[in-house]
Amino acid sequence: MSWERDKGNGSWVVKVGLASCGIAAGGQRVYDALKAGIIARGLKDNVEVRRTGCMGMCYSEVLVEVFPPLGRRVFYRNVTPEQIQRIIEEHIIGGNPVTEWIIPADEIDNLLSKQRRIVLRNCGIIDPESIDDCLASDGYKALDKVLHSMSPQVVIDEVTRSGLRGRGGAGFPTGIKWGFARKSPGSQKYVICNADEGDPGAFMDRSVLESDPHTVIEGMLIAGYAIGASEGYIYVRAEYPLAIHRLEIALDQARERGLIGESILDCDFDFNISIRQGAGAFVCGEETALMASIEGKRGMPNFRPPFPAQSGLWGKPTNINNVETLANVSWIILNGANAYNALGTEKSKGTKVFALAGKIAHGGLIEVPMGISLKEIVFDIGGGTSEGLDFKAVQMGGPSGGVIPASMADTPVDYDSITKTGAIMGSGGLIVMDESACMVDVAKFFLNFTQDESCGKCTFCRIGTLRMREVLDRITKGEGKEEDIEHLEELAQGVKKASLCGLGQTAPNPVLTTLRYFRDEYEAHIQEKICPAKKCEALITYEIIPEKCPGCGLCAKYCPVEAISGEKKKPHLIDPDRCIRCGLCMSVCRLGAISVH
Amino acid sequence: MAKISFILNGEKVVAETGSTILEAAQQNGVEIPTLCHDPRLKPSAACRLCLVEVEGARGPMPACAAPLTEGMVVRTVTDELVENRRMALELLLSDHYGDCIAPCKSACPAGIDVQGYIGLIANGEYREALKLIKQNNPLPLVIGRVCPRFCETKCRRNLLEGPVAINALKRFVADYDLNNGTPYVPEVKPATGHRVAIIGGGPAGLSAAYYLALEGHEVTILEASPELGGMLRYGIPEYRLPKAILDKEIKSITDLCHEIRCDVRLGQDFTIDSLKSEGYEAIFLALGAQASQKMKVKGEDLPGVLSGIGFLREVALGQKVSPGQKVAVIGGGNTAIDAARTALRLGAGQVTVVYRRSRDEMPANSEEIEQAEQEGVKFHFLAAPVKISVRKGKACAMGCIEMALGEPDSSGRRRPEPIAGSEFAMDVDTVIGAIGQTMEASGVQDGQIKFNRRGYVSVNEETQETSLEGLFAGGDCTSGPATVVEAVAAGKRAATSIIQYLNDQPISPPRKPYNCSKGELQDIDVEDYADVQRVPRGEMPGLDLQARQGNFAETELGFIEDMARSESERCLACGCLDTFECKLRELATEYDVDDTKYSGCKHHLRIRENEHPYILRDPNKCILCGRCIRICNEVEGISALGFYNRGFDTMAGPALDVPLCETACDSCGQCISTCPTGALTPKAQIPKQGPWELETVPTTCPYCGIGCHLELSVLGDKIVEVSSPIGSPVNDGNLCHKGQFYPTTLHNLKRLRTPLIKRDGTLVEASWEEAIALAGSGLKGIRDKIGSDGLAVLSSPKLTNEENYLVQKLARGALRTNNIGSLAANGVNDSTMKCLGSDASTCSYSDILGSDLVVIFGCDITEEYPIIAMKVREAVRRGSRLITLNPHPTGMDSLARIALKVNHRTSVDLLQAMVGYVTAYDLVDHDFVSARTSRFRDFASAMKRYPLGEIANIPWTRPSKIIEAIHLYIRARKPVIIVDANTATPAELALLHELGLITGNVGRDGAGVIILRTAGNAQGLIDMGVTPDYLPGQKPITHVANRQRFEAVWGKPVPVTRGMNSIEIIQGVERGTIQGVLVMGSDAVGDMRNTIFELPIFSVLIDTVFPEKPPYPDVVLPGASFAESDGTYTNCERRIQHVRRAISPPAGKQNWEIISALATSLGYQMNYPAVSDIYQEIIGLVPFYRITEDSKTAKGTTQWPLSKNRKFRFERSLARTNPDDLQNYKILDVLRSLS
Repeated sequence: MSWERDKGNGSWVVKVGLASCGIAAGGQRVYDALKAGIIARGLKDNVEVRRTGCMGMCYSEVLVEVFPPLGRRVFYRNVTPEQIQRIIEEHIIGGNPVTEWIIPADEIDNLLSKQRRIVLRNCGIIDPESIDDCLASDGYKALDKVLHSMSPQVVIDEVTRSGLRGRGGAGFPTGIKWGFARKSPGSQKYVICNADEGDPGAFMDRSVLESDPHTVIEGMLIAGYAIGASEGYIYVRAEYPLAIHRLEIALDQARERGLIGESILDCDFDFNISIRQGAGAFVCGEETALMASIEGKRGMPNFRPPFPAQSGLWGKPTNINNVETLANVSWIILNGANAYNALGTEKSKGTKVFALAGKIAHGGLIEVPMGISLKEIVFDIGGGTSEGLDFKAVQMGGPSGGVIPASMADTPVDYDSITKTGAIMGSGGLIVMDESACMVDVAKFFLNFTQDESCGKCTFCRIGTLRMREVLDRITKGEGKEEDIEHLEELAQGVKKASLCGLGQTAPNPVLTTLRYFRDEYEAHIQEKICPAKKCEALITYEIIPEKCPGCGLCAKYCPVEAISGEKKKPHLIDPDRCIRCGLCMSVCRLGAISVH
Repeated sequence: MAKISFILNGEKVVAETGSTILEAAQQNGVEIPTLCHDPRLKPSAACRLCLVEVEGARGPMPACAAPLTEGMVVRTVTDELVENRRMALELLLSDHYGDCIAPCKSACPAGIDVQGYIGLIANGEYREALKLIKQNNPLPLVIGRVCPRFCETKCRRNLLEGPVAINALKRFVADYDLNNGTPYVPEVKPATGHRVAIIGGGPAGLSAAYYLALEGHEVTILEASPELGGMLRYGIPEYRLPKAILDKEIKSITDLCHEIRCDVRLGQDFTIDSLKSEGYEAIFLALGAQASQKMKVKGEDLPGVLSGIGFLREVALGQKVSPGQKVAVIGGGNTAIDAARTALRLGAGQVTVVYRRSRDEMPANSEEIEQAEQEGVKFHFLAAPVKISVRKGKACAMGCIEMALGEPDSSGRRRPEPIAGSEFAMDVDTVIGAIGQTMEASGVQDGQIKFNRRGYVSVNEETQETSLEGLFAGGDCTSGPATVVEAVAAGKRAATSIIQYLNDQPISPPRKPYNCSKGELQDIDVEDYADVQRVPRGEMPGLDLQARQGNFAETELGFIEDMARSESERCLACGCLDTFECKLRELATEYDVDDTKYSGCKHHLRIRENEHPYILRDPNKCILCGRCIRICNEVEGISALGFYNRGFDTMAGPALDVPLCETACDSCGQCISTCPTGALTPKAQIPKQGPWELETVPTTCPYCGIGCHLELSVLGDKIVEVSSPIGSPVNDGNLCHKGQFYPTTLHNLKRLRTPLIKRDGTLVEASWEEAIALAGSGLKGIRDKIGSDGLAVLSSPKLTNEENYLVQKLARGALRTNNIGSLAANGVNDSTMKCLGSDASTCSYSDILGSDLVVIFGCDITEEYPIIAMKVREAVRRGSRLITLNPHPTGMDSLARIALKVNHRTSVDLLQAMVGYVTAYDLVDHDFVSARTSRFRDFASAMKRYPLGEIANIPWTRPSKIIEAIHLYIRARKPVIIVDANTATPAELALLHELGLITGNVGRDGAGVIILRTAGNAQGLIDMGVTPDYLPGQKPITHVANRQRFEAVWGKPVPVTRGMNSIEIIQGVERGTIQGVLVMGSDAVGDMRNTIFELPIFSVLIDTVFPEKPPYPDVVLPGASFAESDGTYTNCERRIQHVRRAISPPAGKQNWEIISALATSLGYQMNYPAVSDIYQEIIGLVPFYRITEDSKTAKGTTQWPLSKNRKFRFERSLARTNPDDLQNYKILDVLRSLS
């Protein structure tokens, strides 16, 4: 870990994680309070307060990292502005860390020991709004190396040899993709950075852009040099204002330093980068739709061939890589292909960033070497489930992916193994589910998402996914019919096979994988009219356990539909016809006297 | 074109390089289904129907988008692909809300196109309506009177104020046909020699006989009764169906038959075997069910007890029947009511219908019951006879018992049960039992054919086949007593099967087309009809009660024409306008889909009826194929349509769902032409739109000089729809709003229907003879008085070549003047003529697509010539460059590499500077110049007098752009210049051609100048000699040899001196030197028209529309529009194309007939038997006007003057640059000062 390098200039360094995760938790107020506190105590010259990006431990935001000039650095978690004064007083002035607010060292060790941070190497360390910070961390060194000592073909060969595969989800070898674009005839070529991260639960790209924009820009420059492009676009969704803001700052800074523009680093290489904001349509992550969107058209996919490498943006050869792919590039150039391909498995090299979310104790942004098992991610890094319920499954790859049951937690994380399970590696969304998750409901959730996000162009995706959702709807409402599973499978296979683009082709995956691993849950919904996870409202009933009910009346008070009645100090009753299954009674009952089944 | 080979469904075949799989399959005769593809558009791969299997590919590939590669192994039909297509269709139809056919049509047992014929009635096309009815029902006179009207119960108008009086409308057209002129006689196919016997002359037998006879088969009808008609004659009383009417209808069928044998009974006089041995190859058994069912009541066989049909039959046979004073009729069906009303008419004082259920359960038509009640028939419900007793050998008392209704029985009606102890007695003279009929099967030999459980002949209900080969059966003898319309349907089904049988084809019922439906009445949201005007159902006029008493006169009198027209207007036209063309329906039928398989929520959207004057949008039928959006964007360059929303709610339409008319839509109708379903349909300018399967007439669009291929759909004397086939050479199926919609408004114009002559300042109607004689004598009088030069002719570029040829022949031969021109089109352009030796385009439209540079000079083609704009847009898409030179910004500028502003004041300077630049820097193509042109040396030296000047001083343009434009033009291999003859000055035309000639860019394959003209046949007009100085073929009139050739054919001298052109003619009129003018209508416009008709000269006008206001000409002759004319047009690329008569001229004469008559009245006999004879005369004199192939499509048109190697043939073999004219052009001041 290179986290230590900030130390040693004799003064205290205090960093606040100010990516979206930190800001959402109130990081900006903490940062302001910290600055004010330091000034107020006259410590301005001794303590440097810095902004940094996402430190990865999103479950602990707001995070404040304190580096004493000597001694151990510590992380304060869930910091509020009110806590700042005590930290300054006791820790910085008094030299005694406020131990009850500190993340224990073993927790950090667990979190980090199995990670390998290449893409995230600067995240949470440098100030994303400072190019100097970036340059000090070897930023743009790879570009310099490439421009001054490598021919485009050598660059492509190096990337090819590294085994880097597209991290957007499909996993196409990046070097080979660059090679196609390079070979395509044409004087005008484009590089596009796909930052249209749309999977529910995924935030890798956002975090990287917010925490280390220059590394992505550097990756684009190297790609541009390799394929012979002079223009680049970063296609980022407008819902990522902070990422856009920091990208704009980074682009301006890079332009000022001559890292973007004409004759970059005094070499015969011109490259310009502009940002294009997407309106947040999921399908615009699909490359042909993305290009249509950049061209000002409705984001709708087109049939390939022609592939973007032959005829892409405005009909010109175009290379599209996602954020994470590009963020790997400079590391590979600097450290060599061999250093990269030493990591990972035979066919999946390097590392993979995941956004660990769901019912997980330690959710956040992680980067692991390929080949690590799901179990290690969930239990060792993630600290197991968050609410004490049994681990049930992970959902990988977002709406295009699928669920992998707990029984297959030994599956190594590499493209082929994950694909074999029916899920996909995807761009890195990893949602952990515990026993409270109803798999039919999960499938419905994702299908709902894809149906809403379907561009409407092709029949199967536009109508087929709706018909599937209607069946799932029926099942979760207890109106499922015996033949529904077969009907659903038939539709799923049709949609998968015949849809035009990846969105439609993969939309049935959540259904197919849940059917594969949790068919019994479907059958329970249909045949027994029960939801084993007690999630589907129409199939559950709330009851008061008379032995446990002291008749306090709290539940009745909260019930929004007056379905609960009973005399004081006598067990109450829920009228099942009135009950709307909101679960409020259960959540307010302090004695666990309300059961659901 | 290079070919690549591939394996298609197991066979090695080849296709053109660059094809998609779909195109490659098409080239090999394999059709791959698709809904979203149109060859005019870039592939979209949206509908997913064209998916095919390609070996080695990861999954199925969309054939419309996937490029073919060498050695590809493609399978277009596999079980999986078929399943996939079916699923795609079923998914599409799961969200399709509409009625393919109207509910009335689907309710009709005979499948009569109800909506179709009602629509025809609404348009006054009664004969067409009758023809449509007779396609499924040969007995409209009968069925129009007696049908129980299954259709009306399903009519959506039931949701409003009551169903359309469908049957009354059917009767109206049948009656109308009978009473107005010659009744319709269908066309009979040539005799086949096959013989068919029909046993039974009732409705089933008659129907089968009709359809078999039309097919050319020899039909014999055998009938047991004395006359044909079956139950129609012997079961339905005269007051409902007069025998005289029945006889006429039967005669219309027997007229087609070979032989009618009456009074012959199966089993007695002949057998099935005897018919076979007589040589009948097929037999249709239609015995009916005429035996009455017994009441099973004691005393039933007494003399005063009759059967219902027995009673009616005796009355029909004219036997004297007197039922006495008190009559009881037992039963609740139509026969019971008929018997009761008949008994009443025969003088019975009291007639009581005794029915064991209640009124609600009565099977008889409610109207019949009502009428019976009105006439005085009494009803005793919930009672049944138990015994009839006798007095004096006649019935005298009928013991009855009261009934109560119990649980529903197998028929679904509540079962009547006797109430114990409720017996009562009725006094009667006659009891008529009408409780049902059955079949009398004794004539059929035992064991010969199978019978069903109910005792009727067993048949395959779809084909009417019996168990015996060659024997078919239908009607009541197979179904039990049913309706006339069902019998007619069975008869037609049998005929279809028999025709197949006789042709040795496998007998199979016609494939049932897929029909989407909005559902039953209760499924419909009445709100959908909120805007429909409420109009009460037309009431059937009837005899009043008094008039009905004691006679059998027909009680229902039928609709008169006005009633029928207004009733037909009530039709809601539920069936889709695209029924007959809908691609979705076609494929759904082919793939036998089940539209309920994936049913779920469905869009139910507002139909956009009033959001555009020409286009009707029904988003409920949209399948999101995106063709409308793409054609609007890619071909039209407009983008009035787009997608909005996402997911299942994705819609196609104007952005923000604004009305289409508020977008940039230019009403070209291209979206309609590409829409595969009924989501976009044209709004026809007639009272009711079809859909009908209409005849189409291929012709040429007259509305500009492009000459697009049109197909006019004709309904009677109206053009209701226009289309253009994809692949036509000029426009490839594309049309602009003029071609698409103007022809459909022709019938709404105030057309002239009779000749008019001026009397006392106003126009009065006159006969043709009178008007033509007056026109002839008037013109002749002036010729004789002041000489030929006092006469002039103004013709029109809307006329065909034949007509214009005749007009100038009349002018030169009969009026003996060369004073001929046109106000709406230019004459021969001298400067083009000087350069090329002719005035015509030097390359063709298709060269635009193949060009690498297009120069548009002085015209806004997006506005004036949209079809050319499409081609330029496509050329640019293919990589061609574009230069525009226009006075104002145009729609093409955004595509242009260079857009220069130039107007008439600066154009000559600019063009001259360009020519000067080329000569000064010696960028001349000397090889071309020396081989193909003359006088270049002089031209170049003349040019030197204007040394390359300060291009810099030309206003509004940057010199670098001008020079870049010149270099682009010189470097281009196939540059095409587009110029508009109507706006370009002679100097501009000359300089453009000279620029082309010296750079070798005119007269080469694929390069040249396209001269556009705004009027339809403007090129033909000058080619046909409607100019003062050229004879047809652009032959100068000054050449003796030219004149002699024409004189030899015309038999008249050709005037020697150059005549006046149109402007000079008008001046002549003003000065009084011209005293008589013949004007071809549409030409005389505005002031010029006033000038001609106001001044006291003699004027004759041949026009299509009524002159709106004075001044009037002396004689007006009603002419024909393009849609009423046969002949040829010549378009701007000099393609000679057919114009064909689609409808009749309102006044009965085509223009060439009028001109001929006028010439004849002037003493110059013009006796052309047909328009083709004029054409023959033209090609004798102008050989290049010969159309090489005379096929019916535009593919057979001829284009001149490209030689075989696609090189423009200069008239004098050499083109010429004209140095002398240079001085005449307005010269750039700077150039002059520098010289």
